[in-house]
Amino acid sequence: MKSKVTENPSLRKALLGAYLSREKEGVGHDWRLKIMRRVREIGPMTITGFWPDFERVVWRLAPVSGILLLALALLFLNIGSGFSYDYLGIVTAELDQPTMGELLGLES
Amino acid sequence: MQNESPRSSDDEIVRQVLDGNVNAFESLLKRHSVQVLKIVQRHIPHKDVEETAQEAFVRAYRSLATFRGKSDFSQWLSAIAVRSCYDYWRKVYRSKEVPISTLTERHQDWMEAVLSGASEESHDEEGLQTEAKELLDWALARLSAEERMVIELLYLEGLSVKEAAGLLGWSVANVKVRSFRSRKKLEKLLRQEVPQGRRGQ
Repeated sequence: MKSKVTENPSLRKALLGAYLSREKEGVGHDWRLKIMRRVREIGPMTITGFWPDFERVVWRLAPVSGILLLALALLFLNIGSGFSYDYLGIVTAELDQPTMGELLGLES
Repeated sequence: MQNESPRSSDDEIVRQVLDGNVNAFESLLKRHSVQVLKIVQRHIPHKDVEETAQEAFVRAYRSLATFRGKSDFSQWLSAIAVRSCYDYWRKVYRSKEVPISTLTERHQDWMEAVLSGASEESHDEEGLQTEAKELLDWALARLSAEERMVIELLYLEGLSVKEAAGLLGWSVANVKVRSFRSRKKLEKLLRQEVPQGRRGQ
């Protein structure tokens, strides 16, 4: 059976040695200072969870909800007076029209 | 302002940072910088190590509120470092900036010597590592970002599929599939470079 090159222990050992040797290369001394500078620029972090997130969403949606409520209230106020007359009109109009039974002479 | 004692646990320091003590993060940075740096150095070319390590820590700071303390902080941080490396490679591959080197007869000779087990006697360690490094870089440059990460974590570092999945944030099944494909691809790449006489041995 053909053996796999990647499973050859000597090759694997050599490649692993090369891979781990990358760790030995140094970095600048001020890299930690640079991180802290960036962290301070970001500023304090706060805990997020369900309730803080929920609260934030509620406040974000508050103006839209307010406008929507106002618009609906105005709509209902305008509809309010004419609505009952319109409904009565529909009912009486339907009463005036002959039914199918009347048209066929089955009902008087 | 609260100050962290030398014995404060990572969880306590995280709590202090989340309470608004930004400077407390420096303790976490000092404690875990070597660990993060080692991870990044293994995966990323030397010129970009510093920037990627910085990115990993800044990312950890930004997502500190999501650290629930269910796992060890260093494990959580390692996962962020590994994902930062993966993101680095995705960006590099997307911009097609991966340096593609070529192999010479010297590399083939070296591989032949390694496969026959003669290299350790005939080459000095430094020379051996130069060839191995070049071969490794050559092979990894021919893989995708995903394949590269899987090969490095599983094949080279010897992590289990579950450990690699945890670090990369992928499913175990995904890592298994990628591992199979990348090993097959690596095998094909290396086999092409093995001189005819050594194949199948």
